[in-house]
Amino acid sequence: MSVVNFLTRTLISTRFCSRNRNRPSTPDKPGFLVGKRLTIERLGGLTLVGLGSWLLLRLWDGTLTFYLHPRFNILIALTGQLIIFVGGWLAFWYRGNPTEKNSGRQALEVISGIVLAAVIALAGLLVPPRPLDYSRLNLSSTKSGVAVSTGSSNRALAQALLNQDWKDTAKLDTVRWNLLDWSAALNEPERAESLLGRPSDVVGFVVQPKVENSRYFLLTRYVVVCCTADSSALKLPVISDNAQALEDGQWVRVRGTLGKSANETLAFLASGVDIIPRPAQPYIFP
Amino acid sequence: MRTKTQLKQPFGKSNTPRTNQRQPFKVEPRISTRVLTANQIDRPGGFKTIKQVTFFLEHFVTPFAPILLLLVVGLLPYFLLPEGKSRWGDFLNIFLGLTIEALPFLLMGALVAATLGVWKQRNKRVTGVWKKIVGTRGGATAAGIGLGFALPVCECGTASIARQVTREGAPVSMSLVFLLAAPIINPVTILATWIAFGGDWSIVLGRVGLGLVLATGMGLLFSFHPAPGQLFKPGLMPGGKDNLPVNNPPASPHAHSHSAPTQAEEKQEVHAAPVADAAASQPGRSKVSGFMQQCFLEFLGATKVAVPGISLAAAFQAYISPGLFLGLGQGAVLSVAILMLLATLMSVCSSVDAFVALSFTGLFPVGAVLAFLVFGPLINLKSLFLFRLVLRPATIWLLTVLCFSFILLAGVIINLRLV
Repeated sequence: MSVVNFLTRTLISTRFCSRNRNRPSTPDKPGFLVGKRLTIERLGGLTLVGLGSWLLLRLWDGTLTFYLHPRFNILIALTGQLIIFVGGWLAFWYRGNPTEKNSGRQALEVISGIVLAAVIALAGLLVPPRPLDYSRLNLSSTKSGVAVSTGSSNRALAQALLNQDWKDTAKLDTVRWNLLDWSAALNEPERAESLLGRPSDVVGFVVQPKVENSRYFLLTRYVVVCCTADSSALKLPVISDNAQALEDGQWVRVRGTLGKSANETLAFLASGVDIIPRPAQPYIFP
Repeated sequence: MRTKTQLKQPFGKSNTPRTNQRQPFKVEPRISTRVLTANQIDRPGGFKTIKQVTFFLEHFVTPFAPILLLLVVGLLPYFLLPEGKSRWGDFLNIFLGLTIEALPFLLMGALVAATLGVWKQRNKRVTGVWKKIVGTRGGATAAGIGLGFALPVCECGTASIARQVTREGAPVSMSLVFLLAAPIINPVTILATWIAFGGDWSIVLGRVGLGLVLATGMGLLFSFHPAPGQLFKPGLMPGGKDNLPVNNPPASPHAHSHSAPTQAEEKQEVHAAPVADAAASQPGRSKVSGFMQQCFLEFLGATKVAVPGISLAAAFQAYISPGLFLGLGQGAVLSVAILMLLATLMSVCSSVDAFVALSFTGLFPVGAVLAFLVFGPLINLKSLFLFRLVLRPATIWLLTVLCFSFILLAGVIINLRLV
């Protein structure tokens, strides 16, 4: 109970500011921020500065793409700057009555909002950014399948098809294709047949099938249309002698050709599988 | 009749029965009856009565409820689920992704609301202008639709703006039509839908048309409510029959009720004071400081109600696969219901949900896809929390049921090619 009483006393002291408003208060010391009273506006302003800084920091170090499609970069840059501007104004140049001079309930509402914003800003700033990885695929029931795509990748696949000139498949530069281009091309059996034997050079992470002692693994990569909430995984099977030596989630570069497995399933026949570090942009953004 | 001494007693311990006798309009004394002083907290044997506990919950737990919910949703699966630790990173990633995506629109809504608020403070004639513009039901509805078409904000920003226009005296039909229609008919959403579906105007017009019909219907329906103030958050609508203004003076000096409040009304009043109102009415501030403070308060308020919904949506994405739903329904009726449910749980921003909806075009009939596009922006985990800025819980539930029924019916009709 003593903890509750302590918290209550600490919180309720904000309310009493309104009762003490006629008491001559100590004037702020001259200076930019140090020595001035900590008002709700200043506290909130500093929190907003932190929130905006988080957005700009992620944009600057390139990890914003772990969360969002790069088409939002300009919007996020503007938002970060605006939040910092509003927060900075409140923290350093605000002239007016502090919010705590209103009723205690109102002040508490604002304080709780500041705490929430601070939690988000701290989580964003302190927790190292990490892209979606293999662990999310445990949710999918299609792990043992081959040549599967899940979720919201149809639009991306359709768009990828439009990017190629299908009149003469011999002229297609398939070495430059990523997993999305391949998945789009292989969706139609007739088109897939025409691509048999074509060279490939694809990057993705490894997902091992549930089948024991298999000679293949699923080369996987996420497609993000908007933000990670709509992410979907594209998987294509790769037949390789070293398949069992690879671990789930390991990033690899697969070079080889398109062929067929023993059960007539389309797959990459790997001539070389190199383990590589995670790419700076781990998702495919259509 | 209560005496002055009785009014000052905490928690109304005297239990004096309230009467309906007319009293002069006094807000402060009634609010002060609920104030717990430091001496009472310190008193030995504090927190003994239920009222004191209720007071504690209302004043110290409720404001921090969004933070508690965020912590519960974020941390509980980490400790309880067998794969919670491995998926917690995904939860955090999706939570931060959705938050980053929502922040620009929350800020935009706050900026527009703050602009309207400061403009009103500096132009006292604005209330009169509002009345002229939205004097009739048709005019109010048209104003709501016009505002929705004009402002490029998704559902994250509309709640703040709807709250501001309601505070300024906009009628029910205008506020509700704007609140429901704006996420669907705003220029960004229309453009995104057009781009996502490769210029397929049938989807674009279907989405906008269904959204407009639904929003207009709801706005007009609710505008016939005998006490419109009961639909909104207490104290939000000036002059509402159910309201006793706290910080917000009524548009007309005679508009407020002179009857003595019931205990329920008194309880609501404590919640009624929107912080931004208080900020807007502070004297002696510069224009810029006033604008900045109101923008700050609107932004914090909207963020606070949006974050719990975002955390729930992220938890759904991280711990439950959306793919589970996709295999459940393919029929004319079930497909619509499943995609509506999925739209609610995914809570993707209305300005980009068309890209997600497009992926369902090959898997689900067009009626279900349209239902996803119309129901998602209206009723999702984010917006349900954001609606609390404007509406009472009962109104939100009623709206949810009506919107679900209407869109389900419309989706099934389209699927069956009955039109």
